Formats: sequence, structure tokens, C-alpha cells
Amino acid sequence: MNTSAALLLIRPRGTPALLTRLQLLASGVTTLLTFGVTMLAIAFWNTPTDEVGYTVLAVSLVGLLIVPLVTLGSATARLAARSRDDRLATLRLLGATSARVRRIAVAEVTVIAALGVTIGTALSAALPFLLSLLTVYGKPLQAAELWLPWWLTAAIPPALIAVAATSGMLGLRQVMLSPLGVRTRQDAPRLSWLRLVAAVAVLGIAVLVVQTASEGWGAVVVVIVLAVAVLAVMAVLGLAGPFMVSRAARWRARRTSDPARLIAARGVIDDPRASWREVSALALATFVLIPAGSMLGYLDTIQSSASREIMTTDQLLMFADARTMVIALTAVSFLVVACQIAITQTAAVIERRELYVVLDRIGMPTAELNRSRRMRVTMPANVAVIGSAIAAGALAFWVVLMALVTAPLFVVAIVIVLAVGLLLIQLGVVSTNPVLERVLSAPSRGE
Amino acid sequence: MSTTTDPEGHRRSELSTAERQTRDWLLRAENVSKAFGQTQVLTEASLDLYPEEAVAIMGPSGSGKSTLLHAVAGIIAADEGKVILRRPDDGGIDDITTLSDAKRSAFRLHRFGFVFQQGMLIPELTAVENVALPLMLLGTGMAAAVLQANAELHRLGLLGLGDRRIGQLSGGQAQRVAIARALVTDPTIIFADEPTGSLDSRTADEVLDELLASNDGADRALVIVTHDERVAARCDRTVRLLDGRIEATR
Repeated sequence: MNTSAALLLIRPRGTPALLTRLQLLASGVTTLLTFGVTMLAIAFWNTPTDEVGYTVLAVSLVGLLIVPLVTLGSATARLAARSRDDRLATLRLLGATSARVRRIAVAEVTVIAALGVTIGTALSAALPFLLSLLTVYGKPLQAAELWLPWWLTAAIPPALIAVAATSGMLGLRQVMLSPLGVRTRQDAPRLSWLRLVAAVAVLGIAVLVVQTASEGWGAVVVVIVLAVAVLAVMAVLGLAGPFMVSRAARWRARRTSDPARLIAARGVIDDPRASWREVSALALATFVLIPAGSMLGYLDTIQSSASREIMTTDQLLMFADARTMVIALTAVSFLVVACQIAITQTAAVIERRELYVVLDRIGMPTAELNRSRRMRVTMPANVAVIGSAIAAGALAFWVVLMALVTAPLFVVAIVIVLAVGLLLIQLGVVSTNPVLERVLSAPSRGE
Repeated sequence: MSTTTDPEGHRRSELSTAERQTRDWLLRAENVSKAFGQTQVLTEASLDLYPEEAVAIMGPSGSGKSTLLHAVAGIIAADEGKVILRRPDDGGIDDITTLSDAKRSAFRLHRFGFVFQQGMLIPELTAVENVALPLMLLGTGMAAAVLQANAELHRLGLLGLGDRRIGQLSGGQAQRVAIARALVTDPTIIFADEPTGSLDSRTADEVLDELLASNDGADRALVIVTHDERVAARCDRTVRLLDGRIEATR
């Protein structure tokens, strides 16, 4: 089969075209946010002060936001690759080898991602002017200071395209390509208890290290040790998360008489890793927000008390900037999660359209179908928020305790912010209700 | 139960079509028409369904078979004509055509069962959960629904397979699970759209036996959309469609 025939078959039309537009949008948003985060990080890095906290802020910003941004880019590419099922099956039927079909699918995903990245890069030219509305180190940012060096501007787009291509390839590994159709593997995975044991062990060691860290080690060593401890706990959250999500869903499935909840729980059990990936940015935001918010609450108490004098001017300015960073981090994380949920849920409805049509045929009300889809996301989201809150609370126990005592309003604000995050997740799913309605009404229009 | 076995070993109802039709109809479709955009897909189709009756709907592709099934089952709203159903308890009449989409949905759950070509079961649920699902949608608790679903699976020869996921079942077993799901709510009509289309001939015969047997002695009718003359030959009546019109009824 020649390449032009293959290209003709994979050109997106109809519902896949909707997914293509979403992939384009997600690639554009990912690119814009990546440029924005990088500019802000460089602004923190270049602050004219010896206060080491600014360096920590710059590194933290990049470290904490690049993860959800890469997750958004990769999740979109994976799903885009998997949503071309019927056309990929046709290619196999027409004689293309499995390897060739994979190459074509990955190429298509990469081309769309490249287009989105190009649009995002072009739009990022406006970012320095937007970010100049922010104040860092007591002064408004200057647009001229925010322009990235040429080599960094040139490096970001190819890196994002490479992430999309790699993720598309990984996404297709989950799929069996046969001439009779493409379907994901059928058996529910069993995740080992060792994931939880490893997570608890790493958390325990991290707590021990954080509690024993002292000024005597030197500022640089303490910062490095704390960063390693935080990164290690973040990493094991990703390890324990799918296991916890799977266990919680099994517990739910065994006890529920609610069909919407049963379908949701079984769906989570079917692919706990994907369920966790969907909400991992929220887990990360929770993990950062609890200690950072508690610390800000504590510092706010000091700032507004007689003890204010113990803080230098640089520290006071940095405190204000840290608050900006936490707000930016939370807002971007929630935005990323909501985007990701909207994209994954759109893809899920399209992938499972026949199933939804059948459930509608047998009489399951559309409202129940939507409720089930919502629960399929909120179930892992609740586990992510609670699990991360426990891990963060253990790691930063004294900071959280001090905040509870000295600035309880900050703790209440954190809880409210997290509740807003969970609500945003629900809104992400609700935004895809029209896609389901479109799928359900399609047969009656003879499509 | 009024069944016998034919020389090929297939179950046959002892009641003739004429005998069945002396009873009150279960469902009556009168002059049902449906168009999709500019295309008239179904024109003034009328159909009565009687207790213990199996009716095959045949016709070439695009003749309106599925549209007739969808209109009669309340999946789509007819443009003209009406579809009425007799209530089993008080003999009253319900007009499906006047119901909203949500009410038609509830109506299908209470009164109809569906079997599709490839089962169309929920892959992440176990077999017994798939069968229990309509009962749970009707408000039955999980334990009671599973008990009833297991009994239905047992009756269809699937004892011990209830905890398997759909991907772990053969095509014939999966289609039996679909039949169990259709039967578990004791519906008035079972609609089957090419129920044996993806099965080998022996398994198809067995699945068809189960479907036809589900009508025996029950105040229920079975409607099968099929391309297969052998399937139609085993039904009590065949309705043939051509270009959206009912051409003949055997």
C-alpha cells in the first residue's frame, strides 16, 4: 500500500476531527504554559539579591510545573494515537504491517502536536507583556527581562514535540492492532502491594531526613537534601497512586448497589494507571500546596506581628513572591488538570461510543451515564488529594501543625482551594456531556 | 409450556400463528414512518406482536430493518404513526410515541430486553454484573440483583462463569450473557439485532434455541432482525422490508 493511500485513510474527519482539534488546543496550551513557567522561573533566578530562596523558587517552579505540563502533552498524544482505531484497523486489513501502522499513527500525532506547538510558540510572544503585570522583588516585571535566550526559545518546541511523539508511541504499546479492529488489552492489571510498601518506606525515610536536617549541614546541603526528599516522595506518589486508586475502586465495587458507581469503579480497576495519570497533577498540587500554604500562613503571622523585625527586607519580598508562585502553581495545575480531564473524557466517550449507545438502548438514563463518567474521575481524584495530603502532612508535620495553631485561616483556605480543584475536575467532565449526547443521538440521525 | 422438538432437534412452539393471534396483542405499531434528513427510511410500517411469538424482520441492507426495530422499541421517535403497548397488569395501553426521550428510556428499561450482534456487554464488568445491571438500574440492591442474575446465568448453562470478565468468554458464552441480561427483568418484548451474526453455525443454533426458548409459556414476544434465512425459518413469522416498506409477511 502506498503512502498516499495511507494518508488518505488517516486524515481525520467527523468525530476524530474533534479529537484532533482538542490535541491541537492541548499542544498549544502546553507550549504557552511551558514558555510562561520558564519566563517566570528566569525572572526569579535573575532577581538581584543574595537571598537563596529565589533560586529555590525558580527551580521549584520549573520542577513542579513541568511535570503536569509534560503529563498533559503526553496524555493528549497517547489518546490521540489510540483514537484512530477504525482507520488503523483498515490499514492493517489493507495489508500494512503492524509496525507501519504504528509509524503512521505516531507520525500523525507528531504532526498535529508540532502544529499546536508552533501556534503556542507564536502566541508566547505576547507572554512577556502579560507577565509584566506581575510584581517580583517588589518591582513590576519588565517585558524586556522576560524574553528567553534564543537557544532556550529554540529548544523548547522540539522538546515538546519529542514528548508528544514518544507518548504517542507508548500509547500505542497498550493497544493490540489487528485487521479486525484495535482494542486495548482485556485483563484488569493486578498491582503489587510492594508499591505501597515502597512508598511508605520512602515516605518514612523522607520524614526522618526532613526532621533531622539542621543548619549545621550548611544551607546548600539542606536545600539539596530537602529537594531530594520532596522529589522522592513525589516519585513514590506516582508508584503508590495507581495501587491506592485500584484498591479504593475495588472496595467501592464490592459494596455498591448503584449501577453508575459500579461501572465507574470497574472502569478504574480496569486501568488504574490511566486513572491516576488523569489526576496526578492534582496530587502534585496538593502535595505542594499543603506545606507551602502552611509555611505562608506561618510567615504571614510573623509578618503581621511584632516579630516582623526578625525578617530582612529580602525575606519579606521573597515571602510575597512565594505567595505569587503558590497561586500561579495552583492555578496552572488546576487548569492543566481540567484540560486533561476534558481531553481524556472526550477521547473515552469516543473510544467507548458503542458501549454508551448500548447502555442507552437498555434504558440507562443519560444523566446516570454522565454521573458514572464523573465518578470515574472523582474517585481517583479523591484518593489523589487525600493520599497526597497525608504524605505532605507527614513530610511537613511541624510546619502544618504550626500553621494550624498560628494561622488556621490559611489552612481553611488550603482546604477550600483543594475543594475548588475537585470541583474543577467535575466541571472538566461536565464539559464533555455534549460529546456523549452527540454520540447517543448519532444513530437516530442515521450517521 | 407449549413446545416440541423438530426433526433437526430444534425447539418449536406448538401454537400456530393463527392460535397466537386470537390472543390480545402485546405491541401494536400503526403506520410508522421515519425519515433521516431528506431520506425516507421507513414508510407506514404496521406490525402487531403477540404473546409467545417470534417474528423475524428481514430485508436487504438499507431496507429499514434496524429503523423499524428502533422505532418499535422506542429508541428513536417515529415521525408519523404510533406504537402502543399493552400493560401486563391491568391491560391498559401505553403510547410510546408520545413519550419524551427520558421516559422512553425508562420504558425500555422496564418493558424491553435487547440482544445485539456482538453481545455489546460492558468489558470491565464481570458476566454476572452485566446481567445484574438492568436490575440495579431498576433499583434492586446489589446482593439481590447478583442472586437473580446468577440464577439466569445458571438457567442458560453458564454456571460458574459469572465472575469472568467478558474478554474471558467465548463468543457464544458472551451472547448467552447478553440473553440473560435481556431476560433478567422479565421484559414484555425482546428485540434482537442480528444476534447470531458473529457466531459459527453451531453456536448460532444454540444461541437461537435459547432466544426462542425464552418465549415459551411467557407473556412475551421476540423480534429478531436478521439477514439469515435459517434464522427466519425458525421464527413464527417473517416480515420482509424493501425500501422502507413492509413487502410481505409470512
